Parts: sequence; structure tokens; C-alpha cells
Amino acid sequence: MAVLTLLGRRLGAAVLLLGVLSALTYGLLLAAPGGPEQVLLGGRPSTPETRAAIREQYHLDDPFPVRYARWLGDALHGDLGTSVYSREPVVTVIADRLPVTAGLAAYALVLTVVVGVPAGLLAAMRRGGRLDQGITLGSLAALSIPSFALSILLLYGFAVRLGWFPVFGEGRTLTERITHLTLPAVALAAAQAALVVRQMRAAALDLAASDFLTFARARGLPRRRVWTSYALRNAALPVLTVGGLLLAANLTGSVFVERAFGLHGLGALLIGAVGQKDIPVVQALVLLGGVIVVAVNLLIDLAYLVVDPRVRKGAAA
Amino acid sequence: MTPAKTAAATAVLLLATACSAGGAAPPPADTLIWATTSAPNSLDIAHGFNSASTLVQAAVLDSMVGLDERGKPVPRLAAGWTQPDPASYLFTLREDVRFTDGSPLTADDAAFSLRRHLDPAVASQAASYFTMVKKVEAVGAGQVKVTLRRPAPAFLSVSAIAWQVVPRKLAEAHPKDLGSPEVGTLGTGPYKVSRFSLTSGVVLERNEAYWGPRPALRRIEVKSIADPETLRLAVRSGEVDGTSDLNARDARKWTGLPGVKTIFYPGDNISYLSLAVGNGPLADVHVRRAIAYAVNRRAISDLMTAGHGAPAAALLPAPMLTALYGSAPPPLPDYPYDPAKARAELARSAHPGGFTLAVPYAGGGDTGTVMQAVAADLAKIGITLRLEPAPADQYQSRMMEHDRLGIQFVSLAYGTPEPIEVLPDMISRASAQPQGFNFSGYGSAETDEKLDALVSATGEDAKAQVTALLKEIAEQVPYIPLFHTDNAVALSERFTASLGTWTTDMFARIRPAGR
Repeated sequence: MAVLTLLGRRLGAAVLLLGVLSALTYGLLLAAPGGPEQVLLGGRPSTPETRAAIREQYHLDDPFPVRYARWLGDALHGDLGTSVYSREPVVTVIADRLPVTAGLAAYALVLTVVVGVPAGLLAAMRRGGRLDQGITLGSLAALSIPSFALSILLLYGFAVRLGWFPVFGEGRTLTERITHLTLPAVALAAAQAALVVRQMRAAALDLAASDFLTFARARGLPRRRVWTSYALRNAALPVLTVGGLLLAANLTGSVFVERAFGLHGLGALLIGAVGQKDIPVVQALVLLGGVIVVAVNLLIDLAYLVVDPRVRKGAAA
Repeated sequence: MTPAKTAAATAVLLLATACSAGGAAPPPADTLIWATTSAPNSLDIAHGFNSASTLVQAAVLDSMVGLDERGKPVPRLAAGWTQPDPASYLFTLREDVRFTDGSPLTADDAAFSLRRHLDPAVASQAASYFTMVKKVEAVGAGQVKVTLRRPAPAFLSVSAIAWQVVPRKLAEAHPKDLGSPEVGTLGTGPYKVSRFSLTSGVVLERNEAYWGPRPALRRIEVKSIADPETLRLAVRSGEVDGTSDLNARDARKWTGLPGVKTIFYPGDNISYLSLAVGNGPLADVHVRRAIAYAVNRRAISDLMTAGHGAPAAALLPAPMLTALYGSAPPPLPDYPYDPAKARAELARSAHPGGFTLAVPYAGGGDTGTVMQAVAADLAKIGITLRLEPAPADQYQSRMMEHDRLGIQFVSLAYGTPEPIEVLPDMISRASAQPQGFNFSGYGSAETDEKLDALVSATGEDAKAQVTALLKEIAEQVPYIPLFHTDNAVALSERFTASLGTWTTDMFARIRPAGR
């Protein structure tokens, strides 16, 4: 029952959020200089008739509320419109690119968790030792390198010099896709893994002094058991939060990495569409971003319930 | 195995799978992988009149006429043409030409393919090319008659670029989205489209039933790589065989790549400074001349083209000047770099002590580099440019809206050898409106009349009229021509190419080396 209330409240908030988000984006795009004429005229000399025809076809002379209401009406009927740039339905445009970005985001998240969580735990277990210092220093370095610079380094080293990975593109089959996305995922995950390492280390250190860990140790439980079953589970809450936010960020904002590796993902699409005033595409992407953030947050909250019995009890009460 | 070991083993396995697929078998010799920095967005010139899109269009669609290596119109889908009077053309279609779906090409298809560019509902990007066209009709078997509003010799040249022939049925069914990834297109050209997507690229297969010379390449894949450095690494690694999207300025990064050759040839382009003559200090012709003397064009040309270009002497692309005047261009008022003369001109203006001007420019890219060089040159004569960087999109939008025009750096590329393609952009009053390319705002009823007369002029008469206009521009200095850039192509040594300024069908000119 508690879960249903949570879901209901979240759904209401989500609808409100998406409404505000779409109106705000639409308004900001209209307020920015220029319009879709640039793309429609192809940056070429044009005739007054063509310009007039375009203004009429795309209702460019209507006031903001009318244009927004028209878009909203269509969107509520499930019609997100047609891309000004490619003249494809927006849904197709996004569906073409979503698998690439989703694959990249998931791959990067897996790398982040697989590397970040154990490394953070290890650092906490060996607090102040050589290993801890090494891991902390490494994470500092990873945090400091901008992703686009790391991308070029990885490309030069692993794709051009060693030839292990392809330079660009996303591949067509599953194996090709994994090959193509490996370097981008590493580039994207590096800083994020560093973040998780620090988060994990801090969370685990907080726990290290707690009574239940001292008691567990006093009972003579093996160190591995103490850290994985007791500390990891308790440190999981903050890490879950960070991980979820990272996933949401990757799904909407991996633009530098996408560009460096010649990937046609949502980040590159959004940047292009904003520049071209391709309003239907921008609107759909902003809505998608909103939905992703809301959904991921909801999933995190549900995961809290699963992971932590205290939260479960609290929710029930 | 402990969980940690399992995880480690899985990771190693995953990496091994990932690595093993890296070294795929080399593609067959007659497959070309080409890359562009922006993806072709439409296979219809009405909605994709840009270099990446026209590259693919030219491989798939035939135009009625072509351009030879000197830029002269030659027959293509039209076997020939006559001019019943100076303002009309009668084209005779080549016989037995079929679209790649097997349907025959008709005069009706050819006529409709031109007529549609005049339809405001299509909102064609090529509409401004064909404003002189009054009527297009299919007459008799295999003939198309084009009636112009008045004689316009440039009609044939622009037709070579933009009169691509598509089936009427298809074009009529899709006025707005012909050529989109969903609709695609159908042509009679040397290649047919086997896949078109904005993300995974274009795949072209040879049209085995092509009426013309058999193209040497069997398959062409066009990919898009937005980042210039990634593009270079892709060519270097051999994953991409060629690209024409390298900047002449970065040529030295490309000339040393192993297994890759670079090809340079004169481009039909001009880069210049536009001076808004409407108000402020730039309204004073002496100020404009002072700026012309003060700007070191040779230095900017060297900076921007790294030797693969040259300073511009007149406000027309170099190949246009060559096509018109041969090797003997007429003398025009010139402003060789001379700070002393610049100061003297400034002293004669209303601003003898110099002035400060806010200059918005697109941060990053060529505009920023040129404007910084110009600002340094002008500082020497007391003109201070307050450079205000703006995001490229915003700068571009504002410039096209003719908002805050002052001193702008502009680079334009053209398709034909006809000066009439350029001059109205620069000095007609119609182009001084928002979305037009007359950023100086220069122009009068008188210049409009001269441009109007030039449309119908031929031979020596046309030459004299162009000279007069170029002279007026040089005297009044609404623009300062800066430089011409070569077109550059990087191509794997596995291929050879014969390319020139007027090459439109680039893929037909590339073949495997040694054949």
C-alpha cells in the first residue's frame, strides 16, 4: 500500500514536472535568436516566396501560447511531430539513437560499479595504507581528466596505435556494438567510477566505527564476510543514489564522449537540435530526459525499500 | 570460484570478445568507405542543398546537364538542347534511360523535377537558383521546353547543379519529405541507395544498368564523424578510405599520414570581410578604405590556408575569375597592406583619431581566428575592435537576421562558374533583407539595375559588366576580399581520383588504384 501511495504521488509530480519542463523549453527556444529557417533554407540564398511559405508552414508568426498549445495538443494525442532537419518523425529519430546511448550508459554504469564499488571498499578496508593512497590518488586523477581528452588519448592508444578497437561508429551486431562501445564506455566511466570510489570509501569508513561492525568482528567473523555482508549492504544507500543519478546523466548528457567516438547518440542529437531550433526534437528529448530522471529516482527509492529494512519499516509506518 | 574471481573472469572474457572483433577482414578493393563531418540529411536537393547531401545525390540522381572540367555545361540526361529563342531552351532526353526500379524516364518526370523547385509548398532550397524560370513543360516524346522570364545564360550552369531528375510520381507524393530516410529517392544515376540512415550512414551499390560509363566502385559507404580529430584518426587507422571534409588550414596534420594521400584543387569559394555601410564609423568610405589598407591579407591567407589557397584580389571566387577572364583579370582598385596609407585614409575620414567598435563573432572555428588577426591589424591604426565571442549558432542566427552587423568574416562556397550566382548575394537590395547574404547593406536602385542587366548579358558584354561591378565594390569597399581556399581531399592510397573544381559526381571519379 505504501508503495502504491509512493507511485501515485510520484506520477502526479512527474506530470506536473514534464508540463513545466516542456513549456519552459519551448519558451526558451523561441526567445533565443534565430529560428528553424536556417535549417529549412539550408544556409543558402532564398526567395521571399520560399521564406513566406516556410513561415506559414511552420506557423512561425503565431504567438508563443498558440504555438505551444498546438504542440501540446499534438503531443497529448501521441504525435510528437516531425524533425525539421531530417523530416523524419521525431519518434523514429529518437528510436534510432536511443539504443546507442542506452547501451553506452549501461555499459559505463556496469564498468563504474564493477570497478568503483570494490575499489572503494578496498580503500576503506586498508585505510591509510599504500593501497588506499593509490586508489585515492587514482580516483583523483580520473576525476581530473576531462572526458573528451581521455577519449582522444584512448583513441590514439588503443584504436590507432594498438588497433584493438575501432575508432568510430556504433557497429551493427551485438559483438560489434560491444567492441565499438568499449572505449567510449571507459572514457565515460572513468570519472564516474572515481566518484563512486570516493562515495563508497566514505560510506564504508563511516560504518567502520559502528557498533555492529565491531560486534561482528568480535564474533570472529571473517573479514570478507564482515565487509561484504555488513558494510557493503549498509553503504549501498548513498552509492545507489549516486549510481542512479549517473545513469540518468549518461542517458542524456554523454555528448562529449559521443562526439569524440563518432557515435550517433541522444547527446549529439540534442546539441544539434538546439542549434537548429528543431523544436519538436528538442521537446521530445527534454521530455524523455525528464521521464528518465523521474523513473530512475523512483527505481532508486524502490531499491531503498529492498536493500534497507529500516526504510521498509519506516514506509510501512 | 569466489564472486570476485567470477567477476574478474567475466571482465576478461568480455574484453577478449571486444578486442577480437577489432581486426576485421579488409574490405574488397572496390568498396569505398567515405566519411563526412555532417551526415547527409536529405537525398533531395530541395531539402538537402549542402555538401554532404549533394555528394550522395550526385551519385544517385542524374541532372539534365553536367559541367565539364572547365565548368561549361555539357549534355547528361539531356542528349542535347537548342534555343528556339534567347529566353527558352528545348532539351531532348537521352533515350532508353530507366530509373533503378526499372521504370522508364519520361519527359514528364524531367519537367516536373524542375517545376517542383518553383512551388512554394515545396519550399525548395534551390528555389533561388531558378527564379528566372517561367514555365517548364514536357513537349512531344522525350522533349522538355523551359521558358525563362528573359534570357539568362546562367540557367544551364545552375541546372547542372540542381536540376536533378526524380520520378514525378514519387516527388508528387512527397512534396515535403522526398529524400528523407523514410521515403528515400529514386534516380537514374550510377549508384542506387541500398541503405540511408542519419545514424548508421548511407550505403550505395553500383547501378549495373547505368546508361553512362560504368563506375569503378561497386559499393560505397558514407559515414558521418562530427569531430575533426576523430575523423583524422579514422582515416589514419584505415577504417575510413577518404574524406573531403578536411580544413586546408590543418593540411599539415593530414599530409604526413601513412598510406593516405592528400589532393588539393582550387575551390569555388571566397572568404571576405563585410563592412556594414549603414551607420556608425563604417558608413564613411575613408574608414572602409583605411581598413582595407590596414588588413594584412597575405598574412591572413597564409594563416587560414597554410599555403593551400591565396589572397583574393576581387570579390569573386578564383575559379570564377579564371572562367570569365582567363589568365588576364582586369586591373581593379587595390589596397595592398600598408599601415601608413591606412592611417592617411583614416585621417581623411570623420574619425581621424580612430574609434572603438563592438564586434560579435563566433567563438571557436575560423571566424574567431580571422577576427583576432583583423583586430590586431586595425589596432595599429587606432581602430579598436572589442571582440565579443558568441556561441556559433547564436552568432549565425543573429547574422542571418541582420542583427548587430558591423565587421563580419564570411566564407561562401558556390557551385557554378557564373558571377551572377555571387554578385546579387553581395550587393542587391533584396539580399540586404534578413536571411539574405548582403551583410554590408550596400546597394541602390542603380546597382539593382546593373545586376538586372547582367542576368541577360553574354560574352564580352557580360565581362565588361562584371568588371564594372567589381570595380564599384573595390572603390566603395563594402567588402574586403581576403582569400580563396583550395578544396582538399584525403584518400587512401588504395584508390586514385581525378577531381577538379567543377566535379559534382565525386564518387564516379574515384577508382581502385592500379586499375
